[in-house]
Amino acid sequence: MVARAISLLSRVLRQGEGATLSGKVLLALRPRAISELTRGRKVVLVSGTNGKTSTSSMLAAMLSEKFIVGGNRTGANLNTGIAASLVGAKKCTLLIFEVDELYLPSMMEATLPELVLLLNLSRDQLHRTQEVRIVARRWHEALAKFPDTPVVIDSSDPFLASVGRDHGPMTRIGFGKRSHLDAASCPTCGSMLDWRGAQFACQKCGLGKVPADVELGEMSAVERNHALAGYVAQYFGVQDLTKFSPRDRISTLLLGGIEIALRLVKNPSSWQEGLSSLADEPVILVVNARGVDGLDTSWLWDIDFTPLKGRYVVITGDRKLDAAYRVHVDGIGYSLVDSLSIAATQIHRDGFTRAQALTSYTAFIDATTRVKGKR
Amino acid sequence: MSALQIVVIHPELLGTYGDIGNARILAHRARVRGIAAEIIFSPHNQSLPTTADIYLLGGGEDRAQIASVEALRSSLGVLGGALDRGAQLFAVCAGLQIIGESFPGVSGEIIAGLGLVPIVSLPGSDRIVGEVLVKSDLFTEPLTGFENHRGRTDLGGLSPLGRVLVGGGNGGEAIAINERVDGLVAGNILATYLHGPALARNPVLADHLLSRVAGALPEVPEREEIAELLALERRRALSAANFGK
Repeated sequence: MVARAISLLSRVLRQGEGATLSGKVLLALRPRAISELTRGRKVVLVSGTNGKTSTSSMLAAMLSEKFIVGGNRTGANLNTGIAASLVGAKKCTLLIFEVDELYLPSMMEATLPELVLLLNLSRDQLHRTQEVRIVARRWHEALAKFPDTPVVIDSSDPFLASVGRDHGPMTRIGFGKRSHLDAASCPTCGSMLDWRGAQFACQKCGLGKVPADVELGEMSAVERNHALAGYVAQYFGVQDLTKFSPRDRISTLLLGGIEIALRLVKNPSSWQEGLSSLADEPVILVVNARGVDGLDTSWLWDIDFTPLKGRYVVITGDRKLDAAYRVHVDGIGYSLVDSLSIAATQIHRDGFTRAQALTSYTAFIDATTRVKGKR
Repeated sequence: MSALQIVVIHPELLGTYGDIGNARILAHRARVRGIAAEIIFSPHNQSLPTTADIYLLGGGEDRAQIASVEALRSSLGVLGGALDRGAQLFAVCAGLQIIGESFPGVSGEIIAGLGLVPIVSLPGSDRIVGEVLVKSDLFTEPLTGFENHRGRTDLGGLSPLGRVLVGGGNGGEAIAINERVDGLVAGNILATYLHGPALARNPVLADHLLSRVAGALPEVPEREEIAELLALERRRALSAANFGK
């Protein structure tokens, strides 16, 4: 009751913060609240560098066929966000939690999940998670404590193949051979991975030599995540998935007289994915480097921005100059503006009615909560 | 003159922090001045190109750093020979540690470096992560960058790139701020802990490296002012945050 009142209050005070404040209070009052409130209930944990929120949301839609589904659907994926989502979730018969990579081990201990879905692992917010390999090692240790918990992975990701290398109830879904920025060397033993064959392989420890249970071939990130969610849904007895389609985490915003399709991009792989699926409309890049965005913007130089060539490009955000210099070196023209609103106004003035924005995490949250506040 | 050759050493191992950007900036700032430039990626399983002008070593994870140094041992003669004939080596973070006598491995064990310079890197008590401001005598304005490393580097009497005004640099917090330094300048080797990438955040540093191999450089065209704007904005942001200016 206290937590629900606090949740309401914090929502009134400031949009967005409500997703975690009630969780903070709940955990302060009852440190074992997550454990207590999930005991005896079906829990699915979803983690990975990219696609946690959209995958959890696709999975929630599928599982709603059979269950009353709860969990954190807004991207608040630390312990506080998970605790907050348990407030008022008594009636839910199945809980899907998307979990921050570093919180996965502790959330497994707390929630004793029925199934864990791991999407991918790549460089992200290096100042915080430090090294992809460290995350992979922690996940491997975490799975070892739950030898009977079913785990579903994209086994075309060498890091996930390594995480699940000796786990018993493991479903490996393959998506063809996919290059990986961080996997020149083997995530398990450190020797060089051999990428010459149909799949990566480590000639020393054998990583990558276990064939996938199902090989689906190459597809886009959102299609991969949709397919993975489908396997989890089938595990829980939802067989007919024909009415569900892949969905990205795109929000639409009406601003300055135009409609903007906002897409969250937060690391090189999600940027590249976003740049490869642009529509023929003006593009706004919003680059911040606050806390969760990652404080170091060096990763901008890992991205190939040439898909922006010949397009109408506007750049804004706290670190717009870092982004501007990066695209400049790729030979792309752009204009710099001080805010998303000014970008929208300028695009409207130039005769367009729609635009697409690739936005850092904090910029995405700012923009999407602002539009809710106005309505 | 033939095209300026810029070699990215082991991009698949030492490219964790956008390090490829340093090569892109060097080539770009050469080309806008009418100097032809070529970027050559030299992976670990191939021998190092022998005729290049600038060699770049970037940052990487512990295991990748060790794999890189192991692969480089067989090319040590090439690298040494290149430096002797006047080529430049720019090394960042893990790259800075690799060129020394030794550096810490995954569990703190001592890994032999390439020994190009008599410096030693040791594990620190914690990771130093954050923005850095460094005043080098080579340039009027301070350099900026982002550091993210656990190792601490003892220069053994060699000259640093500059004094640390904000951040940890080679020595970290164990050293008083007024004695902290970053990087290394020794002959044809220039090294630093700065990411960002360093040459994107500091066009003067990029130009300094270029001028070491191409001589006096013409001014860059006006459209390149975005580089100066970025450098200025980063200096101001750091000064404002740390000195209240």
